[in-house]
Amino acid sequence: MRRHWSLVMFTLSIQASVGCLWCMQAGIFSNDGGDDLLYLRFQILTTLCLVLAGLAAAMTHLGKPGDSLYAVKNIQHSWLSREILSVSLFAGSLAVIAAASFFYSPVLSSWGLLAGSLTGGMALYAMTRVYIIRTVPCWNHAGTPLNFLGSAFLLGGLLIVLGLNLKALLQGVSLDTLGLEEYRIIAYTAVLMGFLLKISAAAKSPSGISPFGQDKIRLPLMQGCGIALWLVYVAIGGSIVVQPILLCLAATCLVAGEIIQRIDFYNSYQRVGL
Amino acid sequence: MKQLPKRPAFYLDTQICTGCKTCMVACKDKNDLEAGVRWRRVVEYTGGEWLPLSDGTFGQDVFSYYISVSCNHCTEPICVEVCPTTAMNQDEHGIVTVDESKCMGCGYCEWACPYSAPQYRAESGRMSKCDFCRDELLTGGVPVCVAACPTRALNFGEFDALQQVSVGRKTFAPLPDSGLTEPNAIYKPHRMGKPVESKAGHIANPEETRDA
Repeated sequence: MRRHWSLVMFTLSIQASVGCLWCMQAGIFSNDGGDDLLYLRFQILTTLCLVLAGLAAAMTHLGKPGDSLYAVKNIQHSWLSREILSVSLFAGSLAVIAAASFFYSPVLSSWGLLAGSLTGGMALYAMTRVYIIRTVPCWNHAGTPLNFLGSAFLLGGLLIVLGLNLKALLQGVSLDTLGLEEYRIIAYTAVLMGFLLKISAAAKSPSGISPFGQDKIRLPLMQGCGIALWLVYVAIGGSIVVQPILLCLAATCLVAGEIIQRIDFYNSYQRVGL
Repeated sequence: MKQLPKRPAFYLDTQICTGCKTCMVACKDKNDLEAGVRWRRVVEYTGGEWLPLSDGTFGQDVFSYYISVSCNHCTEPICVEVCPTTAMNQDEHGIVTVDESKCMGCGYCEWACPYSAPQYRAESGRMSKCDFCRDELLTGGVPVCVAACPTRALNFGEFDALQQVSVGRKTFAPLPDSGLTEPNAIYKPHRMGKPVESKAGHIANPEETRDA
């Protein structure tokens, strides 16, 4: 098996982008007209950049990236074709939303993000199905979709909170006085939900499938440390100095945990047979 | 120009295969494969242990047998199913080949194939695999691995004809369950052959059989 750094980056960045967009979508739905357009533009652009970085990373995995134009030819049977198409659609819809937000702001106000959220959901589903291969039992189980969905919620929520903190930092105010409380609550919930999904994923994995590969998905221990710091960060509230430090530590643990777990996921590859 | 056989298949008598790897070398030589790329591999499956006997002495049930494996040109080829570019394709005779002009070298077929048949060639950045020596077949010859086999353990023919003369189980350890891809290959089991999914033995030469 070739090196899989590019796939680690690709899957995590797409999942983070999808989760982030879902949180934004939920935030917009729960916020009647009080959205901060500048913040939303920034968050959309961040998401778009992340998707583009993920696509660029995926290209480096290919032996002949120039021939990737053929990649959607087997859409009838291949989940990889469907993944490539849906991620491209997701990137396209994000680009359209980002461009439209500069010229026509109501696009972001309510249903504008829905197309992006739906294509993101499609991309996440197709990405999961790519790894549900009948000859690879270490991936072919419910732990894989739970793991990917967990990453989407956890990293997506984290991105939203980081964006909000950056805005608070630039404005020189604390998070409590910043407003956009719906986004914060949704992001906090998403991060916790993501963590719970990760724990369920670890519990779902089959054991003893191979004498070579990893038997179970590694428990999200690093993410657990991140969540502990995260809870302290949420509980402490109001402090301009301590809160960002705690958030940075929590974010580092969460992202590092996600990277380690994804590397572990690829290392656990073991197919049946030879 | 000869006509290709209908649904060609390899036949291996594991009872007489000595694991000499001449088939593997012949294949590498003909196709000029770089180090690490093996369209045909010889797997050594071995196991056994000391067994205490009733008279207080010890016996053993040590076993070892060889399986020469290449692409089995399956009836339900998973590599063709998962390939996003349609570079991996199966012709009307059942031979599975890679169209190098379409392959983008993603390696997804390599992930999915339970026989490690598609192999990544770093030189070209594309996947490659056994094409049943189609050029040899068209000129009335035989695949080079078959021609090179000194014990005649390896043979080939039309699947239906081979199936009529074969006896015993269709597959055995360490081969995967044949229901996964319906391989067009007949393996005559070794007398010590273990059932599929058996944990009684292990592959003794993983460095010679794993993907590069």
